[in-house]
Amino acid sequence: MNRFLSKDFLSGVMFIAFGLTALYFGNHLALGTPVRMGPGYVPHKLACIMLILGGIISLVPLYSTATPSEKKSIWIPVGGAVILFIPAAHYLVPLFDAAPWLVAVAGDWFQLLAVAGLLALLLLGALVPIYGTARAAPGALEAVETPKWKPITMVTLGIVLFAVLLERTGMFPALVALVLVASLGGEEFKTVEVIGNIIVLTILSIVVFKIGLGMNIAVIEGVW
Amino acid sequence: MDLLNNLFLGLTVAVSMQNLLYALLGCMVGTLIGVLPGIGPVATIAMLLPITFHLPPTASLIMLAGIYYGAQYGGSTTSILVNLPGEASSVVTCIDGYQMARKGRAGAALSISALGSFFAGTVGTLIIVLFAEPLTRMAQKFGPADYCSLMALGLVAAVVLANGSVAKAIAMVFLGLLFGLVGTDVNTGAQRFTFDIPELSDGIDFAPIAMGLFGIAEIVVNLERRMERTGAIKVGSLWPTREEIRRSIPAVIRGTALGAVLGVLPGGGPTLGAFSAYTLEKKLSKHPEEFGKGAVEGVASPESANNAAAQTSFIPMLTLGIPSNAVMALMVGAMIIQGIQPGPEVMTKKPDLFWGMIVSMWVGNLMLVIINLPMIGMWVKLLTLPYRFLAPAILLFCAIGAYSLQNSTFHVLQVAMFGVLGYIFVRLGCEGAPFLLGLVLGPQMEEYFRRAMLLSRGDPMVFLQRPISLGLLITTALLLLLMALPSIKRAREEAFQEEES
Repeated sequence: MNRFLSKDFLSGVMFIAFGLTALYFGNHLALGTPVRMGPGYVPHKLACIMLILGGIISLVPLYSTATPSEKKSIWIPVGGAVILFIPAAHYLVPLFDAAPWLVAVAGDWFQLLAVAGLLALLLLGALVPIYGTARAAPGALEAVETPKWKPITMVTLGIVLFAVLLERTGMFPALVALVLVASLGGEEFKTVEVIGNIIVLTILSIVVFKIGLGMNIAVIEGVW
Repeated sequence: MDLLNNLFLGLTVAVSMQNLLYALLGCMVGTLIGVLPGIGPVATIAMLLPITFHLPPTASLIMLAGIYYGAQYGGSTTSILVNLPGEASSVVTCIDGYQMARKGRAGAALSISALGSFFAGTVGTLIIVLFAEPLTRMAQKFGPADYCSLMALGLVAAVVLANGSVAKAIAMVFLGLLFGLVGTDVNTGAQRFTFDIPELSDGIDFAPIAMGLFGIAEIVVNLERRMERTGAIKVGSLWPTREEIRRSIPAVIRGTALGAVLGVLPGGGPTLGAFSAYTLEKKLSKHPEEFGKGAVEGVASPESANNAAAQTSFIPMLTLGIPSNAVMALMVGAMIIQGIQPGPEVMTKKPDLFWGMIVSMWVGNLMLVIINLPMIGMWVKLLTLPYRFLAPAILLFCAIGAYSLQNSTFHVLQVAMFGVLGYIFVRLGCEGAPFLLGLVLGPQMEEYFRRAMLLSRGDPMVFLQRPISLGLLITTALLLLLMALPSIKRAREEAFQEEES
């Protein structure tokens, strides 16, 4: 099993991705000061926390599956460099009249830590496949199950179709599309059953939503 | 006699024709989804959230509460009769309940579990009545910093007691907090993460997220698995023997007590209560060898515990506005949809809603006993309904429900989007519940945090200087430390392994 496909590693990467997205899109929001926080203060801190946590979550499974020689040749140098990098960057960057973005990054302890975690992850991600020959111990980490694409695609497609059709053609065509596509996502598809299901659900949703709750939706656009 | 006055007020609200009807509806829907495996109370309540928008506040909350405790009843029915737990909280009931059914004592097991649940529900409701007022009064003394720390404690405790990796669950809480920030910043009016989409300027609606994360993702996972159905078993006489009654009474009382305590804890709730009660019963029993072979205590105790816990988990939500599990987070969402800010003010500003809801829980429990015992045969027949009928129906309800929130198809698309996200979470082993708790508490927590920092002139020490806040933070830290201890870590892993198998 490829150790980069463990659940923990991938979820760490996902958290980092969310953190980066939040940092990027929250970039234009004013940070303000701790006394008078701007709209960007809390999102910025949360994004940094996401980066730090994501880094930890994805590094732990990599470390726990590394062989002793890998630990010596990769983990100690990389880890040491990162630990040294944090205070160094914090104090030295302003002295060198560096690029503004570097000052922005290194001036904030919190963000620096987050960036360092990210850097370490990137470095390790590059180094481990180059040097590493070790495989994960059996059962040490849970691999992601290969997803079955059919159900998730069909279900999502069904809802999107429903959203597209609802206001243009009315509830009934949208309902038919949703039920049909969603039923295709299951293991068994029997035409008679699906037609029966459509009839029952049409009656049910007209009774519940249109009559019962008095929702203003057309069953077939322009007709009823 | 303030308490009696309040209870009387609650009673008048609860027995009004309309509210009785909604309580009945909630109980029936709850039992139905409890019986059907593959759809739980979280997904159902998420699905029905938009509908509650069209109902009066009290009626909608009464109905949603009914679904929650109705599901506990329904789940035990299928556990006993066909060895299929309808809900996570009735997994343990399978062990001895199904064995009793195989010995021809299914009827007795069902009535003991129903009566035990009713007793537990009554006690749970009484506990809410007794504790609601003092807790609310305490909560009114809280400043912004205290609230912020209380929320931190609630979130951490919920995470610690939840299933799976603690680090991932904490990350999920923060992710939820981050998603909660989307929309217009209340203090400055700045647009945050709205991507110029007008629908997002009010924040991401709670209902589509809950439907996507719990409803859609659950359906997809169930579609991937092949659902097996087994034939139903004969129910037999509903009357337990004198011996069975004698043995169940102490078990019911112990289960109720344990469940009631565990239900109040953040992150606790019915499932934890049922598992702990079963373990306790097995340890205390003079005949531990009978457990797993149809011991009546093994049905009575966990069934009472899950109901007691389902009731008492309302306490932190009703008094402090802090949800302790995913269902309570949805209840908070339902209140916000109705324009009610959950917290200590609910009791003073809306006493009819507060007491009406509490009394209606007891009424609902009574209804469940009366309705369910005679109707068991019908519920069991429903089990033969294949999932391929159910899945499109749930999807359709989610889609129309999401649309009905604001008559906008954007919400329907949101459901699809969060469905995909929820599926990714499931595949990566990330729990949805901490995310939901973070999402619900996110906006309030930021508000309190900013206010506390403003009052202290930017000094974060304020969180340590106020005694209430300090105490709460110390508890939070202790909880996190405890989790790091190897022995507790191992015990926790074992407990959850048992649950999964």
